Amino acid sequence: MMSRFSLQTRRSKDRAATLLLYCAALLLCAGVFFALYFVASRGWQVISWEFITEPPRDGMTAGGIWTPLVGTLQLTFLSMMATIPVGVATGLYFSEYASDNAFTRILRLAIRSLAGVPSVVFGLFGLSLFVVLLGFGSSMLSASLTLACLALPLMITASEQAFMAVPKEYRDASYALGATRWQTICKVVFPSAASTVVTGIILSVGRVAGETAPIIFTGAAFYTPGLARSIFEEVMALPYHIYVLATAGVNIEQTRPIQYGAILVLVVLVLSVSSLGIWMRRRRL
Amino acid sequence: MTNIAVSSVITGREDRDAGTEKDVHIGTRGLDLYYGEAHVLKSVSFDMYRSSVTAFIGPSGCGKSSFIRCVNRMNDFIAGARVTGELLVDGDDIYAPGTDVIALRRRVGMVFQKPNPFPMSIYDNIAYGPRLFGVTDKDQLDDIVRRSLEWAALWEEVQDKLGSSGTGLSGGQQQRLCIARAIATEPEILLMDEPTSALDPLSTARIEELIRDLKKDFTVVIVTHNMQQAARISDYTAFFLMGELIEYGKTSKIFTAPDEARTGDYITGRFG
Amino acid sequence: MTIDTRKQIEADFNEISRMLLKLGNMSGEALTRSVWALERLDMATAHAVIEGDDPLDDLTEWIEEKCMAFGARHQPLGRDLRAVLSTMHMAVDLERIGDYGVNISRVVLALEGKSFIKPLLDIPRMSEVFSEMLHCTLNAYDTSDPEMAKRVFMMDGEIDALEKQVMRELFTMVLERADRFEQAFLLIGVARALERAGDHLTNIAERVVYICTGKSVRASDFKKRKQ
Repeated sequence: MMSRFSLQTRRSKDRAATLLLYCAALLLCAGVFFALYFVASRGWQVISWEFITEPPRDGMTAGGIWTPLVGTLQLTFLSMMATIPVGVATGLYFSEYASDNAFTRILRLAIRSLAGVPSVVFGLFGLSLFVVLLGFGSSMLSASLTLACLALPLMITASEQAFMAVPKEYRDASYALGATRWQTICKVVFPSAASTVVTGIILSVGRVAGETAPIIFTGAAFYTPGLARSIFEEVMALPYHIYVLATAGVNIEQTRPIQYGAILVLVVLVLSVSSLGIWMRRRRL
Repeated sequence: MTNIAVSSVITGREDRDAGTEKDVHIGTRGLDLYYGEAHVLKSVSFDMYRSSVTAFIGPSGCGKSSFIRCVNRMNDFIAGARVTGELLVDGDDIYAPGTDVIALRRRVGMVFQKPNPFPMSIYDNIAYGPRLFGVTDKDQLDDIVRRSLEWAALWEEVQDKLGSSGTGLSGGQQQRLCIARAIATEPEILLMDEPTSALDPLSTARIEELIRDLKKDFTVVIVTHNMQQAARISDYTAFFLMGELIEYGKTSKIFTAPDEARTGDYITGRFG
Repeated sequence: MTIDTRKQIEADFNEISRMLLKLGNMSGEALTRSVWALERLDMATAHAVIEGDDPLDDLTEWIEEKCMAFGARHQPLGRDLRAVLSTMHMAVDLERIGDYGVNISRVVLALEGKSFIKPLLDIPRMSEVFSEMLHCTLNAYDTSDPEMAKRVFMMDGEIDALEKQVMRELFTMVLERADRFEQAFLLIGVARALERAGDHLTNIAERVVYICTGKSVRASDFKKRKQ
């Protein structure tokens, strides 16, 4: 029925498509590796134990990145503390409880639009809500909460999808055994979705750790002599530190290696968090 | 193997003639089920007997699966599902207001078409139900797990790997695990919705043997598309067509000389 | 199950039922021809009937095999199940009728060159009733007609009555002259065989009713009711 000719045509088309997609993937990998090489080759000579563990000195032209590094970790941790419970709970509400009506549809639409809002808008929002209205001032708390808002849409969508992906068969089995809805969520839905939720958290961490715009107005310090000891103090952050060194430093040219070193540390940090997430997901059943 | 099979067939026969006489376990009186506008079950009335296997046959969409989902009220989860009439379990109408659905589901276990073990260890799968009802004692749980697995004829195969994942078992083993899980809470009734449709013939044979054993302790209600299977394992057979119960009676009669022409047409493959 | 499966079931069973009808005609013919040979003491025909028995056995075996293959292939239920299992039994019944033809033909050979102690009247009459019964039975089977099958039960009563009459007559003759014993004994065997053949047809007719209605009937119940 199928002529030999058309079969051959289809085969060669198939081969061409495979080749094309392969090339695209190769190109992407090449791009990533080039960027990594670019950063690493310029930054690696400044990387040392002291670079990581010493605060900046001499008007940030010498010394290390200890203060902004810890500041970023603090900000990320704090914002996750706020995002995870709210995001997961909202995701749970959408997947388990919400019926399909006008209210939930509007809610979903709002969350989707929120994901598309530029990060600087979040910065301004954080400034007026947390810094001014709630009176937290320019502080680690304000900055973290602003970052939390930024990560929230991602977190909600990721966890909702994680819960939705739990097969209906598991729920049926649980209900048929006489479980209540809450028991089913705690014992079956949540554990099965946990690995996917973790992936969502890691994506959020990546997003939050690299953000500059939302924290400029809300709590990132140009320079602090030491680590923040309270959530109401301002805090240095790695991405803002890089931005400062590259645009407003005392001696921009002289501090290039420090800039690249800081970028390298940030990239390695984000990459290792992602790898950890991927490894955890693999390890699960 | 052959000897065992033959003897179990013979004992099955004896049970069939001796026991099960007219001890009604599940009864329906003018049961109607609607999914929104769709009239899924139309005034179904009949009795199922204790410690017997009742098979439901009929073409797809005839209402047989919907019916068994009424017995443990799993239809409650379907938006727009509505039941009128009576469905009696041990004489109590389970659709009466104030019925404790959770307690009902503890009395009425269910096994699904696709094996659906939870993504947890074999042990935790079995212990799931008992733990829901507050059993926390380790020894007691160990005991329940072992007994349930023995009941489901799976103990010998998994006793050394109770900690490994239930989803790593073969399809037939998974289904027996699900049966073990369902009987771990010691229900009186076991509903099975095409439990072997996703299994190979050998696994199917094991499950069928298991069902014949289980009816000593449980009242089994099974939906099947395989008429030979219904003929092999059930004591009573109900034939549904477009939401109506067309004929209900002893399996030996339904499959050799049914009263209703439509039943005869269905079992000989004239439609469906 | 699709319509094609149904067609296949019907085609396969049709093949079996054709062969059963053929077996019925052949066995019936063996019996009636043997009686025909008896009336005329025609040795050639008697030999032909005896030799014709092997094909009957082969055909019976063939039908049994086909029925088993049918069961394995279609795993029939309901009417199909009743039909195929009953057909298997019927083949055996029909084969036995063929054997009675052989028995009677042996009697013919034993009577070679002798003359009858009495004119044969009732035995040919039994053979006629048998032919009628056979016709009726096979027709009922072929057309799935339980009413026609029930008529066979009545005719069997007629054969039974004729057999009793033959026996009475022959006994009386033996009592009168003991040297008639040998021939009387042989002729009683013939009458007995015809009566048995009638019983086999009755069995078959009962099974026809069972295939059609799913209910077991007994010919004796019918005979009693009519009396």
